[in-house]
Amino acid sequence: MSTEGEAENTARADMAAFVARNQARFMPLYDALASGQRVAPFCWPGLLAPQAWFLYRKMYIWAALVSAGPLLLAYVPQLSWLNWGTSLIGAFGLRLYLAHARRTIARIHGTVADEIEVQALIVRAGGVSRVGAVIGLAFAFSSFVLSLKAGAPHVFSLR
Amino acid sequence: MTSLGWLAWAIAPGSIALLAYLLWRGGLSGRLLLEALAIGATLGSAIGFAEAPFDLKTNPLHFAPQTIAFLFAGLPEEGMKMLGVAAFLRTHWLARDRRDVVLAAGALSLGFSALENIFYLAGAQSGWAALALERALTATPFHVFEGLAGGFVVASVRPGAFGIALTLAAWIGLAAIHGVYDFAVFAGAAGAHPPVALQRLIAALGLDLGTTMKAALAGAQALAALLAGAALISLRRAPAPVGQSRLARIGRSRGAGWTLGLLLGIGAAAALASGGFASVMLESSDAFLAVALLAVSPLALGALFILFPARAKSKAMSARWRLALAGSGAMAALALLGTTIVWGPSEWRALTALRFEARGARFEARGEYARAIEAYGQALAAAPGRVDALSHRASAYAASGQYAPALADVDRALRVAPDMVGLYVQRAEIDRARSDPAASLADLAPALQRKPGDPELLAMRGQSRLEAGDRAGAYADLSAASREAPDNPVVRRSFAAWDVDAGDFDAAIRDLNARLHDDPRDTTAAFQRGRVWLYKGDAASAVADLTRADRDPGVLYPALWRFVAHARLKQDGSVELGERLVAANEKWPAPVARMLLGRIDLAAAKAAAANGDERCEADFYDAAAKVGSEPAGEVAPLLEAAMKECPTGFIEYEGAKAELRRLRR
Repeated sequence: MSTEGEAENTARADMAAFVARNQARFMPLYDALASGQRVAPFCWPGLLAPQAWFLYRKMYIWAALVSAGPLLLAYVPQLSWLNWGTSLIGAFGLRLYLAHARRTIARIHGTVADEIEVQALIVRAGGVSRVGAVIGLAFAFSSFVLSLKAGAPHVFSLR
Repeated sequence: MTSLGWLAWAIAPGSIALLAYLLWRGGLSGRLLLEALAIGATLGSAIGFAEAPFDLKTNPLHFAPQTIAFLFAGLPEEGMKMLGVAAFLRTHWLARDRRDVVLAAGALSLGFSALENIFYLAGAQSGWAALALERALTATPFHVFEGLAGGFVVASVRPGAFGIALTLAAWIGLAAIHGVYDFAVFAGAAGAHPPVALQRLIAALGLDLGTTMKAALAGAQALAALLAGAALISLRRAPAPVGQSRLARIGRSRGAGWTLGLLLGIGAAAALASGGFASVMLESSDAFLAVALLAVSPLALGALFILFPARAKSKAMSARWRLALAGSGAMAALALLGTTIVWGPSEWRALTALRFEARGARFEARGEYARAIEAYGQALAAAPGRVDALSHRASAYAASGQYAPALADVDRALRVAPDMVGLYVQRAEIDRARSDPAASLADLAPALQRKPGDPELLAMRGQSRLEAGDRAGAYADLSAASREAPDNPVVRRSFAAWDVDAGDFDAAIRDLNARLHDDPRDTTAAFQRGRVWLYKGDAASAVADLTRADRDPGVLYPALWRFVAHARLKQDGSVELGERLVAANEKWPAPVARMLLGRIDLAAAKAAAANGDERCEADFYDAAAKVGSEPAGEVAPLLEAAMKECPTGFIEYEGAKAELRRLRR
């Protein structure tokens, strides 16, 4: 096997270790993107419950964006229509996840020399958070209740 | 934008940046810091969404301050933060050790708090700048300190039943501190009704609610800072950072920590010293506590910048630097000495006068007018001709019914400050109180010369003209005032008073509806509308408005009127009035409240009155409470007597007149 092919295999193995759960959904997409194909995967869980999905997949910055974003936009009446954008971001979750995974794996490789430690860190950085999913689903339920109440933007009144 | 606004724009993000810097200095990687901030913002949003249906800002379900503070703030917020640390940070790949988890927990809390700040400020409207400053100095560091303490526990416990029990205990403890902090904020706010048992306890200890809540607020912050300090100091031994840029090395150096720590520490200590000095001078702990609750967290932060993390000393200061430092110190000492010699004596006299004025104000608030007058006299002895002291003494004289010396003091003050419009207004008010509207009109003339067309002065003149019987002149003044400032609260309320005088209660209600639509928190307008509902015969609406108006624990009048409204509905309002008496002090009209509750009779209430004005009030409330339950023929003479006794500017005069009109109809 060539050095290039070996590197590709290593990268795939790293990605598989990072993804951990549901590799059957992620790895074909990874392979397609790695081979230069144009794919636009649709992420249904991300569309329906973006907060839960991003927290489940440990993408905290995206989770913050789709959680705090709608609350902040509620204070800008002209931009409140952008609220649906959070679900749209969730729909692109698979691609965002793969990009996030590639960056994190590269960062781990860049900072740690020992291969055993690298593998341990990849496993730790990837995988899923069930607690995150529960918190995210509770979030989705609360926003559903709030939408029933057709609430005003007085969301926070606690210190 | 005001200077306070600019300051808020500088301090609020500055506080967040400073806290993030402290955490980063401790060795936290930039990426982990960012992700922890994001987790905090996500969890903050989750709590925001979960609690939004309760609409706690307007609180339609009437949760008590303690319920909001402990059940809606302390427990969920601290619980969510600790859960976030356990679920996301303890296992985070960038968290190399316990120390990283603790610092990331602080960052998580910072993200939580930053998001909360945005929501608070977005809903604050005109008071945003003061709120932003207050939160930057108190709530933001408080959240981070609590987060560090909670993170320390979560990062330290071992899996198992004991670990879970310890974490739960820490959660309850931190939630209790958070609850005390929030309770102090909610219960100390104007219009809040803390539990009666607490009010009784505070009164039994000889304290007042505001001071106690300020002390609780400062105490909760200090406790959180101590816990966070203990957590960080136990982790202060840090490995020497390697492979950093020059800027990062400087940022994490011992010198940078000491510089920032000293700046913060000296600033906070100076503020505390000034507050302490002001408290000694004003003979009240209020000034110190007001400063302390803003300075506790910056002081703690300064100490943490110095103590955390432990860094090796670089090298000894050179002789040249020592000489420069000593020289600067000597120059500063000389400048301070010179300033003290030049301005010290006059400032000292002003401070002494201020001290006696503060003492007088305290006596006045308790209804001890003779002692207040004496204190103001001492202020004038220290600083003869001081306008503030003269004006305050005039108020105290007027409140005790001594109108001649009151007017003499205002005249003395006017000789010192002839262009001070407020003094003419004060003189006019005294003349209204002594039922001399003609003199009041004469007083307002020079005020209007100095501020022509001022809507509030015109409204006041309209009121005086109304009391003098010149209804057309009053209407002209009020119309002119309304043209100048149609939404001015004084103008609207004065128009409503004009309507009441004309017997047109519907028009008065319309005016006050408009006012309360503009500002639903205008308790004066709510009080006025409550009275108008009563004159109109709608006691149920009166009770609602008078309850809305009853926001100041030290002012009993809305509670007296509500008791009267309850009596009209054949309801027993004695429990509510009795509770209000607990919060009020012995100041007038407490004896009237006791009379309405049947604890003393009318004669005893009048005996407790200090002057004729207070005796007229006792007569009025005695008569008003009897309307509807006793024959009109018996109540009408009592109301007539009250109307004759009361000055025309009094609400009791207006009330007696309106009730008589209704009885006769």
